[in-house]
Amino acid sequence: MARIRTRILSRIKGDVTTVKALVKHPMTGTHFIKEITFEHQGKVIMSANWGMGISSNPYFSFKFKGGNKGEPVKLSWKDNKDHTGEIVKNIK
Amino acid sequence: MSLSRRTILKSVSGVLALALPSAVLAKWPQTAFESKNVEAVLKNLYSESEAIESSDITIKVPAIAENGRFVPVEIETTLAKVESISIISEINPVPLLGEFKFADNVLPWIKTRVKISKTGNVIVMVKTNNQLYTARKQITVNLSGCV
Repeated sequence: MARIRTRILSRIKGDVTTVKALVKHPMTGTHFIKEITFEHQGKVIMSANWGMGISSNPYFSFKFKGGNKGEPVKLSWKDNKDHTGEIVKNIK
Repeated sequence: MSLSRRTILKSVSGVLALALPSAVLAKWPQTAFESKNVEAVLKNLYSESEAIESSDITIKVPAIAENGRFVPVEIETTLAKVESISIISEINPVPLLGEFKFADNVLPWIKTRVKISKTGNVIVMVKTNNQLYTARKQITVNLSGCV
Protein backbone atom coordinates (compact mmCIF):
# COMPACT_ATOMS: atom_id res chain seq x y z
CA MET A 1 0.00 0.00 0.00
CA ALA A 2 1.04 3.56 -0.51
CA ARG A 3 2.88 5.15 2.36
CA ILE A 4 0.47 7.09 4.53
CA ARG A 5 1.81 10.37 5.75
CA THR A 6 1.52 10.99 9.46
CA ARG A 7 2.52 14.23 11.12
CA ILE A 8 2.85 15.17 14.76
CA LEU A 9 3.91 18.38 16.49
CA SER A 10 4.37 18.71 20.24
CA ARG A 11 5.12 22.11 21.67
CA ILE A 12 5.59 23.00 25.33
CA LYS A 13 4.51 26.28 26.92
CA GLY A 14 4.85 26.60 30.68
CA ASP A 15 4.22 23.07 31.93
CA VAL A 16 1.65 22.15 29.26
CA THR A 17 2.61 20.32 26.08
CA THR A 18 0.15 20.64 23.19
CA VAL A 19 0.19 17.74 20.74
CA LYS A 20 -1.24 18.21 17.25
CA ALA A 21 -1.53 15.23 14.92
CA LEU A 22 -2.56 14.82 11.32
CA VAL A 23 -2.83 11.48 9.50
CA LYS A 24 -3.43 11.31 5.78
CA HIS A 25 -6.15 8.66 5.61
CA PRO A 26 -9.42 8.37 3.61
CA MET A 27 -11.65 7.57 6.64
CA THR A 28 -14.51 6.08 4.61
CA GLY A 29 -17.17 3.63 5.74
CA THR A 30 -15.06 0.72 4.50
CA HIS A 31 -11.58 1.99 5.32
CA PHE A 32 -10.99 3.91 8.51
CA ILE A 33 -8.56 4.24 11.41
CA LYS A 34 -9.83 2.35 14.44
CA GLU A 35 -7.18 3.02 17.03
CA ILE A 36 -4.75 5.84 17.60
CA THR A 37 -2.34 5.94 20.53
CA PHE A 38 0.08 8.53 21.89
CA GLU A 39 3.02 7.64 24.11
CA HIS A 40 5.31 9.87 26.13
CA GLN A 41 8.35 8.36 27.85
CA GLY A 42 7.06 4.88 27.02
CA LYS A 43 3.72 5.46 28.73
CA VAL A 44 0.41 5.60 26.86
CA ILE A 45 -1.04 9.02 27.69
CA MET A 46 -3.89 9.20 25.19
CA SER A 47 -5.61 6.48 23.20
CA ALA A 48 -8.69 6.80 21.05
CA ASN A 49 -11.12 4.48 19.34
CA TRP A 50 -12.43 5.93 16.11
CA GLY A 51 -15.16 5.01 13.68
CA MET A 52 -15.94 6.23 10.18
CA GLY A 53 -17.38 9.45 11.69
CA ILE A 54 -13.98 11.07 12.12
CA SER A 55 -13.27 13.30 9.10
CA SER A 56 -10.92 12.18 6.33
CA ASN A 57 -7.27 13.08 6.94
CA PRO A 58 -7.96 13.13 10.68
CA TYR A 59 -6.78 16.00 12.82
CA PHE A 60 -6.51 15.53 16.56
CA SER A 61 -5.08 17.67 19.32
CA PHE A 62 -4.70 17.22 23.08
CA LYS A 63 -2.61 18.64 25.94
CA PHE A 64 -0.61 17.02 28.72
CA LYS A 65 1.54 17.92 31.71
CA GLY A 66 4.92 16.50 32.65
CA GLY A 67 6.64 16.80 29.28
CA ASN A 68 10.01 18.43 28.66
CA LYS A 69 11.71 19.83 25.57
CA GLY A 70 13.52 17.13 23.60
CA GLU A 71 11.47 14.22 24.95
CA PRO A 72 9.86 12.02 22.29
CA VAL A 73 6.12 11.71 21.75
CA LYS A 74 5.11 8.71 19.68
CA LEU A 75 1.91 8.39 17.65
CA SER A 76 0.76 5.01 16.37
CA TRP A 77 -2.42 4.09 14.54
CA LYS A 78 -4.11 1.03 13.12
CA ASP A 79 -6.98 0.89 10.64
CA ASN A 80 -9.68 -1.71 9.94
CA LYS A 81 -7.54 -3.30 7.19
CA ASP A 82 -4.73 -3.74 9.72
CA HIS A 83 -2.58 -1.11 8.09
CA THR A 84 -0.51 0.65 10.70
CA GLY A 85 1.62 3.74 10.99
CA GLU A 86 3.75 5.45 13.55
CA ILE A 87 5.85 8.53 14.01
CA VAL A 88 8.06 9.80 16.81
CA LYS A 89 8.93 13.48 17.23
CA ASN A 90 10.53 15.30 20.12
CA ILE A 91 8.77 18.02 22.09
CA LYS A 92 9.78 21.50 20.92
CA MET B 1 -19.59 -5.98 41.06
CA SER B 2 -18.28 -7.90 44.03
CA LEU B 3 -15.03 -6.80 45.59
CA SER B 4 -13.28 -10.05 44.76
CA ARG B 5 -14.22 -9.91 41.09
CA ARG B 6 -13.13 -6.32 40.99
CA THR B 7 -9.79 -7.19 42.53
CA ILE B 8 -9.28 -10.01 40.04
CA LEU B 9 -10.19 -7.81 37.07
CA LYS B 10 -7.87 -5.13 38.38
CA SER B 11 -4.93 -7.47 38.73
CA VAL B 12 -5.60 -9.14 35.37
CA SER B 13 -5.80 -5.81 33.58
CA GLY B 14 -2.68 -4.69 35.42
CA VAL B 15 -0.72 -7.65 34.08
CA LEU B 16 -2.06 -7.15 30.55
CA ALA B 17 -1.35 -3.45 30.70
CA LEU B 18 2.31 -4.18 31.33
CA ALA B 19 2.50 -6.60 28.43
CA LEU B 20 0.32 -4.84 25.85
CA PRO B 21 -0.28 -1.22 26.82
CA SER B 22 -1.76 0.09 23.58
CA ALA B 23 -3.85 -2.99 22.79
CA VAL B 24 -5.54 -2.90 26.17
CA LEU B 25 -6.05 0.82 26.44
CA ALA B 26 -7.44 1.09 22.93
CA LYS B 27 -9.73 -1.98 22.89
CA TRP B 28 -12.07 -1.12 20.04
CA PRO B 29 -15.73 -1.24 21.18
CA GLN B 30 -17.20 -2.96 18.12
CA THR B 31 -20.80 -3.26 19.31
CA ALA B 32 -20.88 0.43 20.27
CA PHE B 33 -19.63 1.41 16.81
CA GLU B 34 -22.21 -0.90 15.21
CA SER B 35 -25.06 0.62 17.23
CA LYS B 36 -27.55 2.58 15.15
CA ASN B 37 -28.96 4.87 17.83
CA VAL B 38 -27.71 6.84 20.82
CA GLU B 39 -29.37 4.63 23.43
CA ALA B 40 -27.65 1.53 22.07
CA VAL B 41 -24.29 3.31 21.89
CA LEU B 42 -24.58 4.38 25.52
CA LYS B 43 -25.67 0.96 26.68
CA ASN B 44 -22.72 -0.65 24.92
CA LEU B 45 -20.14 1.86 26.11
CA TYR B 46 -21.34 2.47 29.66
CA SER B 47 -23.75 -0.41 30.38
CA GLU B 48 -26.38 0.84 32.83
CA SER B 49 -24.58 3.97 34.09
CA GLU B 50 -26.85 6.99 34.50
CA ALA B 51 -25.40 10.18 33.00
CA ILE B 52 -25.80 13.52 34.75
CA GLU B 53 -26.37 16.59 32.56
CA SER B 54 -23.45 18.92 33.22
CA SER B 55 -22.85 22.59 32.44
CA ASP B 56 -19.17 21.99 33.24
CA ILE B 57 -18.70 20.49 29.76
CA THR B 58 -18.06 22.99 26.95
CA ILE B 59 -18.68 21.86 23.37
CA LYS B 60 -17.35 24.26 20.77
CA VAL B 61 -18.79 23.60 17.33
CA PRO B 62 -19.87 25.98 14.60
CA ALA B 63 -23.59 26.82 14.99
CA ILE B 64 -23.86 26.32 11.24
CA ALA B 65 -21.56 23.85 9.51
CA GLU B 66 -21.14 24.66 5.83
CA ASN B 67 -19.70 21.22 5.12
CA GLY B 68 -20.83 18.29 7.29
CA ARG B 69 -17.81 16.24 6.25
CA PHE B 70 -15.43 18.50 8.17
CA VAL B 71 -16.93 19.85 11.37
CA PRO B 72 -14.40 21.10 13.92
CA VAL B 73 -15.21 20.04 17.47
CA GLU B 74 -13.47 21.25 20.60
CA ILE B 75 -14.44 19.78 23.97
CA GLU B 76 -13.32 21.04 27.35
CA THR B 77 -14.46 20.30 30.86
CA THR B 78 -13.69 21.54 34.36
CA LEU B 79 -14.72 18.15 35.75
CA ALA B 80 -11.91 16.44 37.69
CA LYS B 81 -10.35 13.02 37.10
CA VAL B 82 -11.59 12.56 33.53
CA GLU B 83 -10.98 9.04 32.25
CA SER B 84 -12.65 9.23 28.85
CA ILE B 85 -14.67 11.44 26.53
CA SER B 86 -16.95 10.15 23.77
CA ILE B 87 -18.45 12.12 20.89
CA ILE B 88 -21.78 10.99 19.47
CA SER B 89 -23.87 12.45 16.64
CA GLU B 90 -27.48 11.45 17.21
CA ILE B 91 -28.38 11.86 13.54
CA ASN B 92 -25.49 9.88 11.96
CA PRO B 93 -26.12 6.31 10.72
CA VAL B 94 -23.10 5.37 12.84
CA PRO B 95 -23.70 7.66 15.83
CA LEU B 96 -20.49 6.94 17.78
CA LEU B 97 -17.77 9.11 16.28
CA GLY B 98 -14.95 8.49 18.71
CA GLU B 99 -13.96 7.55 22.23
CA PHE B 100 -10.89 9.18 23.80
CA LYS B 101 -9.11 7.80 26.85
CA PHE B 102 -7.03 10.04 29.11
CA ALA B 103 -4.05 9.26 31.32
CA ASP B 104 -4.08 11.27 34.55
CA ASN B 105 -1.54 13.84 33.28
CA VAL B 106 -3.64 14.70 30.20
CA LEU B 107 -5.79 17.84 30.43
CA PRO B 108 -9.54 17.36 29.86
CA TRP B 109 -9.50 19.04 26.45
CA ILE B 110 -9.57 17.65 22.91
CA LYS B 111 -9.95 19.04 19.44
CA THR B 112 -10.73 17.10 16.27
CA ARG B 113 -12.87 17.13 13.11
CA VAL B 114 -15.93 14.96 12.61
CA LYS B 115 -18.60 14.12 10.04
CA ILE B 116 -22.16 15.22 10.82
CA SER B 117 -24.69 13.84 8.35
CA LYS B 118 -27.39 16.49 8.86
CA THR B 119 -28.78 18.98 11.35
CA GLY B 120 -28.97 17.45 14.81
CA ASN B 121 -27.39 17.19 18.24
CA VAL B 122 -23.82 16.38 19.07
CA ILE B 123 -23.73 14.54 22.38
CA VAL B 124 -20.63 14.43 24.55
CA MET B 125 -20.15 11.91 27.34
CA VAL B 126 -17.50 12.51 29.99
CA LYS B 127 -16.57 9.65 32.28
CA THR B 128 -14.72 10.57 35.45
CA ASN B 129 -13.34 8.13 38.00
CA ASN B 130 -16.77 7.87 39.64
CA GLN B 131 -19.49 9.39 37.46
CA LEU B 132 -20.78 9.72 33.90
CA TYR B 133 -21.68 13.24 32.70
CA THR B 134 -23.22 14.48 29.48
CA ALA B 135 -23.83 17.63 27.46
CA ARG B 136 -25.22 18.30 24.00
CA LYS B 137 -25.18 20.97 21.36
CA GLN B 138 -27.16 21.36 18.16
CA ILE B 139 -25.41 21.85 14.82
CA THR B 140 -27.10 23.02 11.66
CA VAL B 141 -25.54 21.35 8.63
CA ASN B 142 -25.84 22.97 5.20
CA LEU B 143 -24.00 20.39 3.10
CA SER B 144 -24.54 16.82 4.31
CA GLY B 145 -21.62 14.88 5.75
CA CYS B 146 -22.61 11.93 3.51
CA VAL B 147 -21.89 9.33 6.18
